[in-house]
Amino acid sequence: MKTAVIGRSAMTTVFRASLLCVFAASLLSLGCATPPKPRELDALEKLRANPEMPAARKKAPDLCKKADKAFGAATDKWHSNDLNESVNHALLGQIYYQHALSLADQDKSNARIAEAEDALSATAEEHEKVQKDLDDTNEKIGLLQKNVHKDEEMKALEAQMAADKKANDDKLSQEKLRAETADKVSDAELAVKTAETVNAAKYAPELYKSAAQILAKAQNEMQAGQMQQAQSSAGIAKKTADDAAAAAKPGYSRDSQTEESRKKADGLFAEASRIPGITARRDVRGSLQRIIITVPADTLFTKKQTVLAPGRDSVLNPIADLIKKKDYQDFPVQVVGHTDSKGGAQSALLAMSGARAQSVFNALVTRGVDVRRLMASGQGGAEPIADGRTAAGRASNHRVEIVFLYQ
Amino acid sequence: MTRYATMFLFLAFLAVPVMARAGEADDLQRQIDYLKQTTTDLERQDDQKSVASDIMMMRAWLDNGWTLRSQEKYDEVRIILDRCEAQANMVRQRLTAAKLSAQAAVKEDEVKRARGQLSRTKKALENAKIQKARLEGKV
Repeated sequence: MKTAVIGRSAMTTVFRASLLCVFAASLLSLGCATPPKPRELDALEKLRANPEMPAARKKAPDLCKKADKAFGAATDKWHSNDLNESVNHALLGQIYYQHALSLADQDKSNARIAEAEDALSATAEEHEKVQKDLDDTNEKIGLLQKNVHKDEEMKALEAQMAADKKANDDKLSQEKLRAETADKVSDAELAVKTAETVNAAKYAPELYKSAAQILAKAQNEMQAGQMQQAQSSAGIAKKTADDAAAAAKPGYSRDSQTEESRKKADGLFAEASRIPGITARRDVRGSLQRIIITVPADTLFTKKQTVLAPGRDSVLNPIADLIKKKDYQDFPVQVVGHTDSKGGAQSALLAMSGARAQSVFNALVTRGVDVRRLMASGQGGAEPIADGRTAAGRASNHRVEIVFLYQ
Repeated sequence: MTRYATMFLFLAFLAVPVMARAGEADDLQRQIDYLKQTTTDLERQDDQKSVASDIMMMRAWLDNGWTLRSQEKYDEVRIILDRCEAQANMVRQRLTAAKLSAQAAVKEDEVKRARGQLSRTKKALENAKIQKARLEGKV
């Protein structure tokens, strides 16, 4: 029993001693355990893992070596639980690494600068070349534009010239039209004046009035610049005036011829009256006017002779001259022999008067009178001019008459 | 005489460590001042504010160093000063790197602009060639 107690007590002691040992070991282990890693060391580790670090190591091997050494020292100090020293080394390591990284960064930046400068140089070179090309092209464009401008100017000039030509042509055309119109109006005016010369106002009053009105219209239209209408009106006016002239002409001619003949007859009568040894008188028979030059028979013939007595025919010279005179050449001339109503048979008287007329006719022809103007006839005693009962009367009835006929 | 000399030597022996420590403190102070001035210079140079946090950290370390110097923990101060020296060098290089990076960016921008200009000129040339061809056709 006592042994058991002793054994139990020994076991308790051992147990307690064991517990004490375990507690002591625990305390020792707790005291010797690695403390938490300082964050500076953690940061240093991260810095070491920086992807730029190889470049930094290459650039600054000495610095990196120092940093590595500091890192090792920091780790060691951390493991040896000297945190202050660990932090100091870690901070120093960080600085060295960052220094090395900065140097690498400088290299990188320098490389960027060099690359950029190269690129700038290459770009500038290329730009210079492109700019030169551009300048050349622009210069060519300038020349081309100049040519184009010249071309355009030429075209514009040509167009201007064409326009001017057209304007001139138009003007000429207008002028021509105006001239043509003026001509036509002038023609119409002339036609109207021509109509006036035949006194159309009297002989064709309606046509003349119409022509004058249409002519006035044509003149107004021409002044208003309505050339086509003016030409048309002038044409109508001319035609109307021509018609008026044509219509008036017969009446006018007739009247004017009559008048002319009268004037000529007056002249003829005056000249005939001035011939010595004869008498001249005027007579009307029907529509015919007559100027009768009476030559007494005893002036030309001896007694009952029918042949012109020698030396007596000189009286015929002025008569022949008168007949031949140009002014009176359109007067038909009758040579009529007359006797008195006594002294023989009527037929004998007619024969004698005819023979005497023929003698005078021949004498006149001999003196140059156109035979076609003359006509000889004998009237016998049918047309006495004096009383046949007296000797003087009968002597007067013996005569040869030169009769000028006119209307 | 010998006794005075011995006393003098003894006093001198006692004074040397004191004087040495006083000189070390002054030296550390000068270094701290120099590094503070360096910090200020670096701040002035950091116009892009790319290393502002590093400079701020350096300034904090220097302040800590100043405190430790006051506590005459000269060894710790030296560690800090060495670190600050390294930090200053690192910051200088980072500033240089930042400036170079900015220069590179400027150059790259110039390249971009030059390429844009080149592209526009090429386009202008293309258009000019078309216009020229048209004019040649017209003439």
